Amino acid sequence: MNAALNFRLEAFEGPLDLLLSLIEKNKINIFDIPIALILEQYNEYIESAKLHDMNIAAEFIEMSARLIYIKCRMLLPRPVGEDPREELVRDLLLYAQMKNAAAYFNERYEYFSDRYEKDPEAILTEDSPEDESDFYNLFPAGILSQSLKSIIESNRDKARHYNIADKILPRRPRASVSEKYIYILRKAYGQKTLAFGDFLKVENGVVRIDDVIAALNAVLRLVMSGALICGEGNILECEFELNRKRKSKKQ
Amino acid sequence: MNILDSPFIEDLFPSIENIEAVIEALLFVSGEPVAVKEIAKILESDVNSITQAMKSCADKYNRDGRATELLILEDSAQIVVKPEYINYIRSFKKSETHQKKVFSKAAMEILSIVAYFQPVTKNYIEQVRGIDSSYTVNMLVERGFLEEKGRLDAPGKPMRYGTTHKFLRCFGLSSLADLPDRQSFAELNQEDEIEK
Repeated sequence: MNAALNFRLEAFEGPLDLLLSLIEKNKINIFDIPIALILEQYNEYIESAKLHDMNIAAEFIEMSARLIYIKCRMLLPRPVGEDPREELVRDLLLYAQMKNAAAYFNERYEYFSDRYEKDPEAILTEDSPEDESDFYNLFPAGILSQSLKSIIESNRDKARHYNIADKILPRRPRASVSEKYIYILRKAYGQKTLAFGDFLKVENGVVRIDDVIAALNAVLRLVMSGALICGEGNILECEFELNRKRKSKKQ
Repeated sequence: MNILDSPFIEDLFPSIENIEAVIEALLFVSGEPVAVKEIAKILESDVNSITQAMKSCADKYNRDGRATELLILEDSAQIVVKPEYINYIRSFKKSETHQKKVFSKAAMEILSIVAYFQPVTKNYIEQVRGIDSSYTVNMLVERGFLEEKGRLDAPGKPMRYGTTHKFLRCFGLSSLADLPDRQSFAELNQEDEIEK
């Protein structure tokens, strides 16, 4: 029995996946699961995974407890027609259905994902934002970062720091926008006029892309709220200065 | 009112052929999917006429054996290049763009669950899969296959997620109605005579 169970726990997406596999291996009728047998095999599996010093997700342990609970209820007297396994069977069936659907979608993805979509143009819409914080509809910030990304991708081999950006960009940016506000406001307070480059942190001659994006976000919000005034030209050319005439707003 | 009923049709409104050409022009420029409503607004027409024109345009694309095709994605349309030509595009662009990213089993399962049950919370997804799915859901949102669809009116006001136009495009669907019937996915890999 142990030899058959010697696959790796990592191969399973979760406890339901493991249970389905056990059910299949034992050729069990899912509508009449022998709980004692399944529980025993399930626990053996968890134990052997522990022996191999693997981190078991908490959900596996939780399922163990659930199986024990079901087994207990099976042993106790219960009203006719009530089956303590019912909910588990429903969960297993739905998950199995989704697994099969996933395989189907995977095949479709293989083919259709190669459809090529042209990169978006910067098109402003007339629609006003639904709520005040939804300023992305007014400023093509998403388009800007998209353009940045495509510039970086097309110059991939040119500079070392582009490779760093390549690793950082797919993940969520680590630079904090709120920290950027403070950074920008502090700088603007001290100087007469600033350029966008002044808002960036340069480390070893390298600029990080998440820093640029945070700076972009912060600048756009500050300009929109009126705290910062910007001059003519695109974001790389224009001058920024603090709006010293602004009356302070009570939130 | 159907624009064909207008007495000023030749003067003020483009003919059917021209509507299709205008649609083609707008979709080409946009790159991203464009809502039918938006095209209808620009052409000062109604959604039904535009939808019809769009379908006719899509058919023409398919008949002509072109490399591009006009996709209808729920309430929007998009012009894309057929998958067969991707390698030429990659050589042409000389870059790694549109390198196909493979999905993990988890990601596919999550997409299936969202596709069939949307809008759903992360909690529901985790219930169906039996395991924590937060990280992968976030990844799918970032990659543009899932999007936030408002919050559930329940304690904690959890966010609900649904699929996007990109999902439809990359999985060859025109709309969510095209999803195969969920029950058609044989539930078990057993050949026994199990009665449902």
